[in-house]
Amino acid sequence: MEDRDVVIIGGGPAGYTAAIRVAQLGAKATIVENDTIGGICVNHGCIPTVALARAVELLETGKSAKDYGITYEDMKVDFRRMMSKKEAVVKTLVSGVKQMLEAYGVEVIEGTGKLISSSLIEVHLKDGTKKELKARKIIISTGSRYPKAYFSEGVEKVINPIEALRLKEIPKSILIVGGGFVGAIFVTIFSKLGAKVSIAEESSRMLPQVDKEIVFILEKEFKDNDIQIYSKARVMSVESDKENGLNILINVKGEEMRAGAQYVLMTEPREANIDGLGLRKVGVELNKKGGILVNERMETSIPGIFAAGDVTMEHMWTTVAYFEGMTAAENATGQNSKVDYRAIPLWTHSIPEISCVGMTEEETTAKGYQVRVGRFPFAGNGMAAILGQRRGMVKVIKEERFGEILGVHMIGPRAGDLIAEAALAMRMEGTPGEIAKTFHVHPSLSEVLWEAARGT
Amino acid sequence: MVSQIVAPKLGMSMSDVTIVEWKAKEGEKVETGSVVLVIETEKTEWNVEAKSSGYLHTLAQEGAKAKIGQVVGLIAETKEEFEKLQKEVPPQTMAAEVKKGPPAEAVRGKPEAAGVAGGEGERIRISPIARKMAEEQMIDITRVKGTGPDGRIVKEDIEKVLEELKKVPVPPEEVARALYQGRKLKEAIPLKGMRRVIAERMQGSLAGSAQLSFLGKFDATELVQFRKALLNREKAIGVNITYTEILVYMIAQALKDHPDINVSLIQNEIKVWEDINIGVAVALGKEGLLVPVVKQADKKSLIDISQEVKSLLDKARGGKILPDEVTGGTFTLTSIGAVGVSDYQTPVISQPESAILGTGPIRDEPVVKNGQIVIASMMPYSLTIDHRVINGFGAEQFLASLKEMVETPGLLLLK
Repeated sequence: MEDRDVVIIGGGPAGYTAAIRVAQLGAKATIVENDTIGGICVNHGCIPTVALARAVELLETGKSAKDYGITYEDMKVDFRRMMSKKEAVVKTLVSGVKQMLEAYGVEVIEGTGKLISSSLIEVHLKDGTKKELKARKIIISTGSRYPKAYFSEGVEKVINPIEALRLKEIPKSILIVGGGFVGAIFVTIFSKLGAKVSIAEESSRMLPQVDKEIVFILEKEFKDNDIQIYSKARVMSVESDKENGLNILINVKGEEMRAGAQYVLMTEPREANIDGLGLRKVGVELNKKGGILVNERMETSIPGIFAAGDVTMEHMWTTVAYFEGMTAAENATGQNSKVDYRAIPLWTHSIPEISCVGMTEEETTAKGYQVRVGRFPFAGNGMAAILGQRRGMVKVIKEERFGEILGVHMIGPRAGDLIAEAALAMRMEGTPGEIAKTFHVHPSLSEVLWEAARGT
Repeated sequence: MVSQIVAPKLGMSMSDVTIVEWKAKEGEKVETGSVVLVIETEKTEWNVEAKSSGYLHTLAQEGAKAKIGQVVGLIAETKEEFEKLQKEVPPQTMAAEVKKGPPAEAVRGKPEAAGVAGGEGERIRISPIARKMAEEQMIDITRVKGTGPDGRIVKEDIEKVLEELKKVPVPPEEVARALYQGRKLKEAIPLKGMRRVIAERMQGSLAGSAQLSFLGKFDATELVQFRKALLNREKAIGVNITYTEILVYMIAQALKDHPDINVSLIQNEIKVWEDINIGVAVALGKEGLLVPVVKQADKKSLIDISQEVKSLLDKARGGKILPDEVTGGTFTLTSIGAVGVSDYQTPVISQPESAILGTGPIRDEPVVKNGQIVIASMMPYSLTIDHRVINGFGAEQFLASLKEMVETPGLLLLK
């Protein structure tokens, strides 16, 4: 049997990045993929969701165009075209990833992988046959999925985000369960498309990782757009009801109440894709969250087997999966590297966008830091005025003694792009002083972070 | 409630201060207004008082430097708050510049060394936070191994060095003290604070200039009468005028006539000062010595000078004198006064001044006047000049003017 250097089970963001890194380091990489290369992110997650968010952003832009003297006659939403554009974007990126893998000489085997030992993998190929692969090192990056069923099985129109991206019609009404980064973007998409949207969030506010001040601006925006937010809310049951579509029982702050909606979109929870992988047989241990237990070198409990990405059930962001894949690849090929989880920038394409890196002000005080805070509103920025998107602000939190940046949080236009500078400053252990002393293009949105840094 | 102890700004040009001494121990109870900390600038020591009562949590070691405005200690109102502080805000995080044994010596260096490696001007890769920490903690970054990308020194590396420094064993004090080079020690007092400043300045003065002293006596009989007259009218005048204050006034007047004494040799240039600023040396017990300066003494009345000298001396004794009040002198008077035993001394010039006058106790002595032995009140003086810039001739002329005024105070009416 042919010996392979590194076999990667799962060709999502962690897996394909690992494969490319293995190839760059001069070893031979093999990906075993049972669906489409690119994983959830490219096929059913970030990319198609943000593509839809782009569509509603265009709708918004179109509406505001008349303020600039441009009128689009007969502007209307063609949901089917919107969905096919989204698919086209996905196809472009999937083929891009495939080309890249090909260019690096990565072998892609279509089938389902299963561990036999720490160096042997059995692959069930699509044609029904089996194939054994002998590997020097193995990386598991099978990702995560949404549960098969939520409440009573068989209730239609209780959907997960992947199914939401396949809808044939714009929902009339939808309850989105989970006010996190995924929830927030779907709230924006469906409400801008005209659906009656409500949110059920378990904690006291949406987006607990983001600073309160920033989230309140988004929540106000949502409320102003007639979106109902149930905080400290848990959906207890969902039943079919001929008139309203779905009859939903929600426990809100300890009191039960009923709500109706055509759809319920469950953005949470997620579970690791580990069924049938043969982990138990080989002795790969799991963590408390049900993901594969790894250290910061992405090593599992079995030498020679690594895991990266959502399958660990930790830091479930594509942003992080890339690094975990690279780190696993480097360690699998004899290097010594670690993932440094500080300063992970997070983002959601709500309107306005929200992004953050580091701690919230509440977290810093809870940890006993003496902090100083700088804020600046987009309303004070020239470019924001030009764009006609003046809502939002940037908040910079620094530690008082040495000036270390502890967190940067923002809501406003292009917040997802603007957060990169803050993440770099934090990675380089810079201070707001360094940001303040850096030239920023005028007029540009980047000046808002500059101003906020100067304010600390 | 937790209140902060902050390194205060005491002068325009100050950027940092040295923590000289904590007057209370870690965890000790302090009262509002009590002196908790003595800090030192280049020129003075300053007593920092507690803003509130409570338990002291020190953040800086004695000997460490602190930036102006930096929090160097905390006072917790309750014991619980104190314990919380101890856990959450690590004490002694600002280590001293003192040597703690070989490993400490190996990495701790002068902060000036930061940023320059091997004298070749090679750039050191270091993160801004790591640099700030290193500067504050006096860590020589040229000796720190960076573990960040491309060997960049990051926060974690500095934290590791600090951890290592904490581990360095300090030899038991008894062992260190018992014997030194075969002799029994009673005590080993670190050279710090004002003592260190005096040591450096006196040695620096003698090593850096050519000091020559002139010793003699003035007949102060009329001066004694003059002062008695002033004392008799103390209520009307409003102050008790001392010999020192009268001498400050006289010296200022004499210097007006002898600008060649009121000079400084600075960078190959003899600077002849327009301002006549007289320093008055004041002893603070065995340990201390400060020289507050009466600025532009030649333009002030005797009463003004008297009041100013008193106020400056009070401040100096109370540890509340500002650096600006002990700098800028152009001539110094050191008056031993009535408590003195010796007549003469060879005073050491306070650089960059060029002359200092010492006076001894006024005593009645037999002197010959007009061929007769009479009793006169004699005041011994010792004038030291910097012979690099002042000659004996100039010194004698200055002394002659002073002698005239001391012996005939009435001449002051002409000034």
